[in-house]
Amino acid sequence: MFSQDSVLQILLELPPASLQAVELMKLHPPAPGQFYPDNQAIEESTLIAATLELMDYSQRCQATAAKVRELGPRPVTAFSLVEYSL
Amino acid sequence: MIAESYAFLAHLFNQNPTRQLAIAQAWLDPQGALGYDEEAEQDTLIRAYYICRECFPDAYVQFSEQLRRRTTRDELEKFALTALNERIYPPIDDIEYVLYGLPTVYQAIGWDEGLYLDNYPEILPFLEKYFRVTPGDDEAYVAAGSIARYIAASLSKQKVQVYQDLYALIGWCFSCSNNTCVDYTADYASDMGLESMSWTKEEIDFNRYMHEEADQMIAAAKAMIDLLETDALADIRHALKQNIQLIRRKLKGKKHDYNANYAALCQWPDRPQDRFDDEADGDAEVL
Repeated sequence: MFSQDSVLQILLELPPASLQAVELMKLHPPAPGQFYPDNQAIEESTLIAATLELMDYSQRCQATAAKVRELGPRPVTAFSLVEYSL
Repeated sequence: MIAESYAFLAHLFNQNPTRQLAIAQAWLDPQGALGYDEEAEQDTLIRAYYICRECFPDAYVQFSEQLRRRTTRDELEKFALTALNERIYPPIDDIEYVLYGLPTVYQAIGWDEGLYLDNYPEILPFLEKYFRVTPGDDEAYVAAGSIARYIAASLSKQKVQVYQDLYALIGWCFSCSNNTCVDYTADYASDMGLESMSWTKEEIDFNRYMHEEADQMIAAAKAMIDLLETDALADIRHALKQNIQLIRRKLKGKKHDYNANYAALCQWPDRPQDRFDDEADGDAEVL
C-alpha cells in the first residue's frame, strides 16, 4: 500500500526532466548582474525549440496535476479491519 | 565580491532542479508562468503577447526579449504590429485589431450599395453584354443572378483553368463564388451578423487561405473580362451566351426552380488539359 509520504518520496526520487531550457542555462550561465542567459549568444531556432518544449512540458504538468486533483475515491476491498468487526 | 556572490547564487540555483525550472520558465515562457489574466487581456500589448505565445513561438521569444530589455510601450507596440503583420494575411494597420478579431477585406462588387460604380466599373460591359444588366436596374440584376448561379455551378465542375477563371468572374459579379471575401461587402457582412475570426492558429491560417483565394479569384475575374473578348475564347463566349439563353428560357421568369438541375444542361467546348489539371494531379499524388 502507498501512503501520501511514500508517493511523495517516490516522486522526489525521480530524476529531473531533461529540458533543453535547463541545459541552455547550464551552457550559457547568466553574466554577473543578470538573471537569465544572454539570448544573443544562442541561436534563435534553439531558443524557439527550447521554449516550445518548456510550454509543452508545463502544459503536461498542469494536465497531470488537474487529473490527480479530480481522482475520485476508490473502494478498498482487499483487506479487513478486524479490530472494528461487527 | 559581487561577482562571487552572483556565482554563489548561480551555483545554488543550479543545484536545485525546481529552481532551475522556475528560472527557465521565467526566462523563456514568462507569460506561461504568470498564467492567463482575462482582465489584463483587454490591454492591446498583453493581448498581442498572448497571441504570439499561442500562434507564433518565434515572435513570442523575440517579444519576451523585448520586454526584458525594458523597451518603451510605443516601441513594443511597433514591434508587435510588425511581428504580427509578418505572420498574418491580410495585415492589420493598427495594433488595436488584436482586441477585435482578425482583419477581413470584403471585395464584393456591392450591387445593392452601388459600390461597383466607383470600385469596379470594369464589370459593367460584361454584365450588360451577357446578362442584360445595366447600372441601377436591380430587377434585371436579380433575374440575371438566378441564371448566373446555375452557370457558376456548371463551371465549377469544369476542371480546366479557363473555366475556373470564368467561374471566378461570374461568382464575383453575382456573389456566388462561395468565398466570403468575394461574395460579401462589409455592410452586408455586418447586417448578416458575421463576426471577425478570432486570433487562433487555425483561424489565422483559414483567414489567410480565404483572402489568398479571394485575391486569386478577383485577379482571374478581372483578367477574364478582357480575355473573354479575344478570338482565342470565341467558342467559350458563344457557349456562355447559349447557356444563359437556355437557362433563361427554362426559368421563364422564376427566381429559382429548386427541382431542376439546369447546371447539368450547360455545355462547354472541350479544352485541352492545362495548368489547373496538372496541379490537381500533383495534389492527388501527394495525397
